[in-house]
Amino acid sequence: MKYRRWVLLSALLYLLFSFPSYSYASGNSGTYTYNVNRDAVPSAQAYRVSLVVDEEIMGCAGLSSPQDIFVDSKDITYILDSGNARVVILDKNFKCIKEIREFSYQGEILTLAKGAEGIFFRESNASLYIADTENNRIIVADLDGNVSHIYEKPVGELLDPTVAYKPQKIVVDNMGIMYVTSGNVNTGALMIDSNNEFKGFYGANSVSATWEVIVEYMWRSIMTKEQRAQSEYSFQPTEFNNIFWSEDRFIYAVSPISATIESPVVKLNAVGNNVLNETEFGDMKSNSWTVNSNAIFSDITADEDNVFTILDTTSGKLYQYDEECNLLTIFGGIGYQNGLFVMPVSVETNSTHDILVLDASKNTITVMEQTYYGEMIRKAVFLHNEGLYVEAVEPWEEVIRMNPNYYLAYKGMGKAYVAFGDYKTAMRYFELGMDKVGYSDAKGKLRNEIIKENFTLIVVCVVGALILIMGFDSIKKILKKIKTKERKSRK
Amino acid sequence: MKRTGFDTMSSFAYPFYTILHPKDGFQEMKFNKKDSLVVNFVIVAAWLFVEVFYRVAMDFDMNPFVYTDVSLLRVAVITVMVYGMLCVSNWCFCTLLDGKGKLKEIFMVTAYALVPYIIVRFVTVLLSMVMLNDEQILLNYCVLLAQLWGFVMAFTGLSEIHEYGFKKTLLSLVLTAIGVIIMLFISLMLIMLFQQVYKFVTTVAIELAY
Repeated sequence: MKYRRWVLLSALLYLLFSFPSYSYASGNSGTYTYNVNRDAVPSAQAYRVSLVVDEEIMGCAGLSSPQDIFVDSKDITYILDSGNARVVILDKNFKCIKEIREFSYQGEILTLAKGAEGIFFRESNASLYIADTENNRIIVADLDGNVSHIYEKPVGELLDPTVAYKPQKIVVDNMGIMYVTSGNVNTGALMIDSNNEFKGFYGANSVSATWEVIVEYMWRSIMTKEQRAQSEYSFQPTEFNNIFWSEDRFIYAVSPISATIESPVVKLNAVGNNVLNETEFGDMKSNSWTVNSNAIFSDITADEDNVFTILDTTSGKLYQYDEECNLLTIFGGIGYQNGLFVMPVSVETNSTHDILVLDASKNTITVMEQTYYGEMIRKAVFLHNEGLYVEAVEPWEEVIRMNPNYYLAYKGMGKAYVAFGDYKTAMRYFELGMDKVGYSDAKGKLRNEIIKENFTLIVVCVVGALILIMGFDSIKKILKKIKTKERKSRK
Repeated sequence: MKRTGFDTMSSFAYPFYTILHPKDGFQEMKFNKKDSLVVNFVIVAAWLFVEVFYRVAMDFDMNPFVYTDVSLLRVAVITVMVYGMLCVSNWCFCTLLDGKGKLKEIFMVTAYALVPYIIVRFVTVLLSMVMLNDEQILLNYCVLLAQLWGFVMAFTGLSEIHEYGFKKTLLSLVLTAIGVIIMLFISLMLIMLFQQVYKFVTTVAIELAY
């Protein structure tokens, strides 16, 4: 019996002192977010699988290591089926409308080389732009396969003629200028106009001056010329993995995480400057169990609310952010179940905010639809970013009801209560949302209010206190005088 | 030296007198035996209380700690244990350096030097309820001033009780700091050693059991 008591006690102690482990973060599936202390906390699911598009659903021959998809504004999906060297076009319900295997160009028949990597559909002239990587060219064709242009390597002074041209991903802006990423060019995307003239590089990743970069720079400065010629400069900016053209004329780009570049995810304006806030994209590094330094962000997509989703091929996870770079949700993972991926390569959103993930190994497109929670979170964040704090209360309350770990919701509620003028409740919410600035702000407003209401009382108190102190002093003096008189009289 | 009032002064009012008149106060403490271990204990307990109060009750926007994560044991280690170590270390070195102070006096001086910090910290915690994040710097400066004044008090007090000059007091303080570091190092070693012994014993026990 004694023995059993000890076992019970030790079990109890173990329960008391063992650290809670967040299996949501380390496991493959399960949705989680990060709190202010950078801990992974479980979250309600924002997306669920609604459909896995395979051979059967498409109604045509299956895919073979597809590399890219594109969804246009009418929800038509264009798949670049690289393994079969064809383009598959699906309608709204993911039924196959058309397959393009052969392209005709001035009477000749052209085919794509296996391993083409990028596809883009420009709606204004209804043409497909295909980066035919292995043939070192870009093909522009209509939906019947009639090629209007073939763009070989452009000529330009800045372009090194010895470097091979490997167009990988392509987007086209409203002016018809193509932005092309090429495998071995780390100076940004190539801007090529419709006459195949090279217009310059766009939005190169800059190398940030980290400690290692400075040390290497110092070493190189004391090397001889021969040494310098022999040793490659090791801190070069990484090239873009993928680019995305958004409705509001910005270009999103993703690069692999590396120590040398400033941000792996950028949103570039017309002059090629990043407009996103500085955030840590992907998993947070402070958590040893979720360290994911080998994350390869392979694709990015954004919708009309400027909510963007990035795809990490190595962990199979999708990270969704709003335009202020607040993390909305994380989902996905590596695995064979529906909703998990083996080798996700491309992600797109459609008009109903579904997320389409192309898997090059499973040869499927996984369609993930927003849950009620996801809808609420998006609605709330949208209203919050617009400054409509009061309107955002309802969705925020729903979000808190479903996921009390989502700290942004408390912040939003705090701001709403400041707008209502209920500063005490606002302070409570800011405390829950760990927002010290907001809390201080509300406290200041509350303080002003109290001072304003009780102004006369405060003045009376201060004056009264002053009179009392002065009176006390004079009473003391009088008492002293009496005492000295007494002493003198004694003497 | 003014002598009026010392005899009638209660030993709890005495630290407050010493804050304003460190030299007189500590001299009086040494030569007229105005030392009481009860006062000493109360001051250290107050320090512990104020440190916990600071962590728990400082208003959210100025609190550098997560108040759900405050451990009384940890706070006790960084207050009471460090206090004890400082005093013992000082006593060790000053007996070697011909210091006249007794261990009890060293304890008293260190405790008295803590009083301004304790008071100011307590007041800042109360003020944090009405002050904002931007005004926090004011509170921080107050705390810094109190700490500096505490240091001045400790310096004066130690030089009084050991009957040292300026240079020798400084030397003794540096040695005290080194002493504390050595103590921490040795205690860490001991802890690690005991852990290893414990591990060894449990391994042997497990081997024998199965």
